[in-house]
Amino acid sequence: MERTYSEQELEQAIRRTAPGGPPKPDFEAWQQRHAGALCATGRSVNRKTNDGPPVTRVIRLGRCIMEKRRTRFAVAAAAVIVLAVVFFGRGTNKAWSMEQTIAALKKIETLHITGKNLCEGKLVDFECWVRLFGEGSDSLRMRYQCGCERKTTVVVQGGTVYAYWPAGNVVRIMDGSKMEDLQYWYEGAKISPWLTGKLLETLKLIGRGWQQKVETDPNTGTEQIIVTCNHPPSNISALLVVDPQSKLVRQAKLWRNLRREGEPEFDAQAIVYNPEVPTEFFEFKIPPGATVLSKEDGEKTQALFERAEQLFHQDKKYAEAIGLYQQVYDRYPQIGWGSTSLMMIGICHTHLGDHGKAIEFYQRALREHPTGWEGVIQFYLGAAYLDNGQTQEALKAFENCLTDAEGKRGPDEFPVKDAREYIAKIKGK
Amino acid sequence: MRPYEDNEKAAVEAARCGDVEALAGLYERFYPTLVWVAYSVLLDRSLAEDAAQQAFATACEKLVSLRSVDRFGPWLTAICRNAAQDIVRSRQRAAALQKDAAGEIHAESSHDGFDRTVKEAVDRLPPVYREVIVLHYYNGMSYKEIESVLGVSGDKVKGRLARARKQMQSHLEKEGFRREQ
Repeated sequence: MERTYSEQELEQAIRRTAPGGPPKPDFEAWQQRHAGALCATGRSVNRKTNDGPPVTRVIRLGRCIMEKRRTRFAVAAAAVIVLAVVFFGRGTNKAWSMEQTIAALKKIETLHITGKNLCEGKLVDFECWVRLFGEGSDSLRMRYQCGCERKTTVVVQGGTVYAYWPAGNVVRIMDGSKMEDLQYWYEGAKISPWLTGKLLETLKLIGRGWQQKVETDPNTGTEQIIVTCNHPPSNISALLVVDPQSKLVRQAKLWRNLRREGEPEFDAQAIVYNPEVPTEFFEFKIPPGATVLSKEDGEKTQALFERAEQLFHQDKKYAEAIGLYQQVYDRYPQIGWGSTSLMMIGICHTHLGDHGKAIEFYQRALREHPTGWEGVIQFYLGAAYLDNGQTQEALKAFENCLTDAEGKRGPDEFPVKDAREYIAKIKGK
Repeated sequence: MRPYEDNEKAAVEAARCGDVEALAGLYERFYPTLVWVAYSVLLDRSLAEDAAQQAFATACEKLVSLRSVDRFGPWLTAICRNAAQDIVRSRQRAAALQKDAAGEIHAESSHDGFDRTVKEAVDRLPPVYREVIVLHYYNGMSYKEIESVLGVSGDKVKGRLARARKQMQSHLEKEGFRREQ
């Protein structure tokens, strides 16, 4: 039997069929998920203008603090020290002045920082030593030891950077000038040791909303100055514990939000000034038998990997991409490119419909070289098992994916949400 | 109140220079539109939210390449449409997910057969027509607002809406629902 409807009824019915309520924008949540994108706005402008006024450059460099998962090591520490100086410079408290802090910093030759830092999405212990032998970027020496599973050591010797992964006994030599995260240090070193002089004058402009109070440290009974501050354009906030005697920063924490909410992304729990550190400690010696990936090799492999990525993502030529990923893996099976390539070969096979082969490569990627991609690989493995009709194995892989994501990824992020949906579907059957 | 709330061009310029507050304002302003644009491609609300967020991230990364800040809205919605299409392409199970999602929506919103059939009619529209229907009815946007975010003329918006309604009407007729004269 036919039913009639009016235009108005149709319009009302269309509105009723909208799935869910009105979308609610949550910028904070978006920022958490896409921190790199925020960083990119500054970088983009930087690229376009090539060279802005110093303060702009500083702000933009500062914006990238804490966002890179690779070699972010002491950048945050530099920022904290910079912030400390800036805030002292703007302070009204007669107990300090910028000059005092600058004077104190001028006497510093070496820093030793211990604490927690974000690596591959996890807060891990780190230890970092920094020394400036004089002015100029060539004088920068740094050694950073990450407490992550891969126990990565990074040594900066002026413009040359060595990254060492002990598990595979692999050394990669890199050009520091091409590593964005190091530019902050180089900029500082070019002007003057320990970020004094002109740079400080420039940096006076950036701090906002700072507060300071004097407290007694409950552990030692000594006085300490607590400084809190934020920098909205960079979306960071910081807490500094300052020694009123020496005017130097004892502890520093940085958050990737303006209200110091949650765990700090960088937590310098102890900063020691001028520790006894022999000069050789800042010189990297290639371990016997190590596979050395030179700058040229690295650039060639990077180009090969990027070509493979283009074939996969843009051209959708999966069979051709497999060939290039395989070449990358054959060159350097021990480091990140190798395991990522194995995972990508697996995904290519999935796209080509060869689920058995896909499973084989995902398993190899998991077995041969642990990286921060385990959870993602587990997800793809689960999906491949499912396609292959191996439901129980799929369930286990999706559960492993969720276990791996704990503390690393949010519940609505890929692949956590997807793995959860698949588990629900499998269990619902 | 966010800065530049009344001045989109100024907000875009400020965001290009890395002003987080300006970026937040743009996000809040455009997010619902992006979700519905992505939904018109994906037919899945949850995936559409993912696509909208991803699109905004991509836009941030490419903001410097935007030649005219006047075209921010259409440029952003184009990025979002592409992000949604990428999801469709990259997800092997996209089709299955769409069916599942559509099934859930039917179950939730089907007060009677008419609503279900109307939903089917919306889902069957080509994305280009579904987009204007979704923006107009789901997002409550006027023709002028749609015109500004899609970057097409008002006549085109009206034309697409009219053709969309016509196609829906024909589906409804097949299912036994006749429009009153």
